[in-house]
Amino acid sequence: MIELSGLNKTYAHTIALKNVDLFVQEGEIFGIIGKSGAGKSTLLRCINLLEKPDSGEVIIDQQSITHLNNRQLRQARHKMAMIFQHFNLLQSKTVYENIALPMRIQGMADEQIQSKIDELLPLVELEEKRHAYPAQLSGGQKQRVAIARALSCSPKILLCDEATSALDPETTESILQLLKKINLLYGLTIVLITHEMDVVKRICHQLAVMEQGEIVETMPLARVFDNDYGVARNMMYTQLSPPLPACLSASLSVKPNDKPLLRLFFKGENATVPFISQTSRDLQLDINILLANIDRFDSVTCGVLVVELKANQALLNTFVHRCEQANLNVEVLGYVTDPDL
Amino acid sequence: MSLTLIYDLLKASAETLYMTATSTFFAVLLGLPLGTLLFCSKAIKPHPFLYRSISALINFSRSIPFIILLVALIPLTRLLVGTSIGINAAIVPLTLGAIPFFARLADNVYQNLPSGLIETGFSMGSSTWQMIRHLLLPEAFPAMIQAITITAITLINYSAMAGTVGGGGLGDLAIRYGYQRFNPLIMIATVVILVVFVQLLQMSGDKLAKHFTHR
Repeated sequence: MIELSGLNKTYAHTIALKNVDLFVQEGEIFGIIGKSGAGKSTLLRCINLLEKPDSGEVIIDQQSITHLNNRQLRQARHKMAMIFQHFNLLQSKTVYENIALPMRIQGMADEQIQSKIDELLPLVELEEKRHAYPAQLSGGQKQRVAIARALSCSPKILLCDEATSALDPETTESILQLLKKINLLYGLTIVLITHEMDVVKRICHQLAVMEQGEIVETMPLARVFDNDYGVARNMMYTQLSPPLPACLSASLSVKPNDKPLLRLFFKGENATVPFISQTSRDLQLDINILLANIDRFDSVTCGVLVVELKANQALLNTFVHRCEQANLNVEVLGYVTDPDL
Repeated sequence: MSLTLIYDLLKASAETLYMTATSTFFAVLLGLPLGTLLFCSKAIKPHPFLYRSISALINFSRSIPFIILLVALIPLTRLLVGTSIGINAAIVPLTLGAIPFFARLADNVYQNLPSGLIETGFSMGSSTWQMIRHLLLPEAFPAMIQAITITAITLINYSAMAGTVGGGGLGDLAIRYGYQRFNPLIMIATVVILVVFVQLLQMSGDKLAKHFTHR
């Protein structure tokens, strides 16, 4: 659906894009993650040529759009909608008129515009705000209007520029669910850029990591934990496994005793087996679960457990061995010295 | 104060209002497109040569003191109105003086629009004209009303100056009766009327702008 090949873009003294290749399949939600200044915003704007790359090709639907004239480019943009971090609604127009804007630009008839808006407002749950002005709406509602506006011309591609970065976590979740819904409903291809791994984790099928103008990794979300290394993997892992509480980490020692603290990492079907209770029974071992977290990465479930064992060195070795056999990732974090824990 | 003086004051006030209203109308009519062109040649469809030319032209005409413009434009005024004396004649230099002023204000209004607006328009695939019509003008409208108010107030001032070279209006009255005939009452009366005009204009401009601001 979208093919970028060999994109380069340099501003006065900074390199924004360095030989970027990217392929986005039809119907996919593709997330590009990177810190601010990594070039992701420039990359997104190259897809609809709001930014013209210095070199390279942008191919949409098997057609190169890099060398279109102004008129053809405007036509091409009608099939690509965009939503923004700060929503960019027109303050002077009502919700209705904001959604109508792209259709008016395309010269659609009034009845057609009205029926399209009647269809879109329930989808974004804003029926009763039809005649409200943006200033009367909350951030989440504004982004919903922007999404309805983006959908009004039945685009094939939706470009999201940090679409949830200005929203609180709860609203972010509802906007992401809406994006997911329209992706399924219309088979819309979505490209989003974000600096929040959480956004990628929640809705993307594919992800790419950008650093200093380059794409350093691309992979399906479901395979993010296939390697033990990698930028995306580390970011996801850090999020899945939060740092130990201070009281716990302060009482850890490297000197072995009979209270080892371990971190177990489950992936895929491993996460659904009652491993702990079985092991506890089989080895006659007391396992104290201190921290647990589980999450879903597209189709794959992963989880992390931090456990304290009441075990001597021999029993610990048996336990570790058993974990490895079950394909769990084990890490001995240290030994608990605090008698209260 | 005699009846004739009151009549003179009323007549002069009406003349001032007429000059201000007419020249504001033409200044906006011609200055808005100029200001829009100035902004678009920079931010929407960059055309550095066009932009620099318009900008230089505006700066040039704004740097001429109005009193000089008034005299310098006499041949043009004769050509357009047939005479260089009277309130209709004064409208020509007033308008020409205010066009670049308003164009610059309009450009400023556009520049103060949120930066994402133009990008949004482009992402929708709008042409330059559609951008102006559907995005820039509606969004700039309340601020444009305030720019028009500022222009009108400036023109009240200028029209008083135009009066001194035979333009009529309150300025003319103030000079002839108040200054040359040492009549402080007339002087004060004209100033009071001008203050009231300016206050009323500013108030109604603000009110109108607020009415169209949906925040």
